[in-house]
Amino acid sequence: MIFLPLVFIFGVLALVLFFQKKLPETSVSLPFMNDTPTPTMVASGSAAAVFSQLPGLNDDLTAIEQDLEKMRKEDTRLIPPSFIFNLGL
Amino acid sequence: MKKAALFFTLLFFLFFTKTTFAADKTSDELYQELLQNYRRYQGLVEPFNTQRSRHLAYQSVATQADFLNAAKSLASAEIEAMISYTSFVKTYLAQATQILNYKENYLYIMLDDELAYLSSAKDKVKTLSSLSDTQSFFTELSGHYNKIGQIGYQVKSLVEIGSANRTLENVKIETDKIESLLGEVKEEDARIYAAREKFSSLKGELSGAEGSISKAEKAFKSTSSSSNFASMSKKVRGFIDQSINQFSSVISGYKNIVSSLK
Repeated sequence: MIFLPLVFIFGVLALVLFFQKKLPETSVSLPFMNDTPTPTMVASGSAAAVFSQLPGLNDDLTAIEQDLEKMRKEDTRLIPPSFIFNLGL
Repeated sequence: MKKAALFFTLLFFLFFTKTTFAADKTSDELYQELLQNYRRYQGLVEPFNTQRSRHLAYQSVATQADFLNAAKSLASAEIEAMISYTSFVKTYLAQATQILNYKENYLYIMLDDELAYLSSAKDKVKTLSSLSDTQSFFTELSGHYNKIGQIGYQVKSLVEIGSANRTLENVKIETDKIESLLGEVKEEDARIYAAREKFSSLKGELSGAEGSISKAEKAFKSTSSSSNFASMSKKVRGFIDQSINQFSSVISGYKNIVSSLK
């Protein structure tokens, strides 16, 4: 009878550990960016026709601009804080 | 008997999950911990200075004992804050490694060595029994903290260079896309000629951004253990800022080309 709660507890524990390993790093606040999609082949024609074949291009450029804004903010948290190492005698 | 077994199992479960989660703190959580510990350290600086002044003025057994205790409290608080800072740097590096594909592991090993030293230093503080021993201990601690600080500056620069390189890759992909689109345009008019000329000039600016990143990498690689890492980090940041401005100009130019030709 005692085994049922034990099986349940270890089952929950195993699940917690499993999903904990799988969870993505959501707390990263570093100025990193995602890869933009690779170029695709386009058909030739007028400028408007050619450029309208890649409607996501402007969004990709905007995404890079946003990454650049993140990079502009220097992360000063890594600068070591100062301490006293002298008794001053 | 069954209830007791269940109770201990639950206790084990709670303890185990707590320690597991504690081991996986994020860099943001560790930074908050550092702020708390550093504030605690700062709170002990004034009592330390007061006891030092009293001891310098009276030179008595009582003032010496009080000053020794104040110095030991200060050292303990310093070590706690240093442990938080070192753990923060290590976790930050780990997160950066995952995203920027940074493959070197010598910095982790060095940080682990320093964490092991700080852990043993915590116990050593309790055994300090004279002011001269305490001063020697502070000198030793200072040497270790200097190494930790150097790693902090290196991680900062590594992340900045890595982020800039990642941006460069992305901008190059966009450059290829626009180049391919311009190549496919069959119209021949002043607007197309202007777009092609502008694009060619922006490609030159992109090379400038690549050059700024190379300078940052060179500044980073030219450091040795005797270098001034704060100055190196400042230099790297300067080159990265330059590349950010160049990237911004390139991207805004690309946007202009795209909007003009759509």
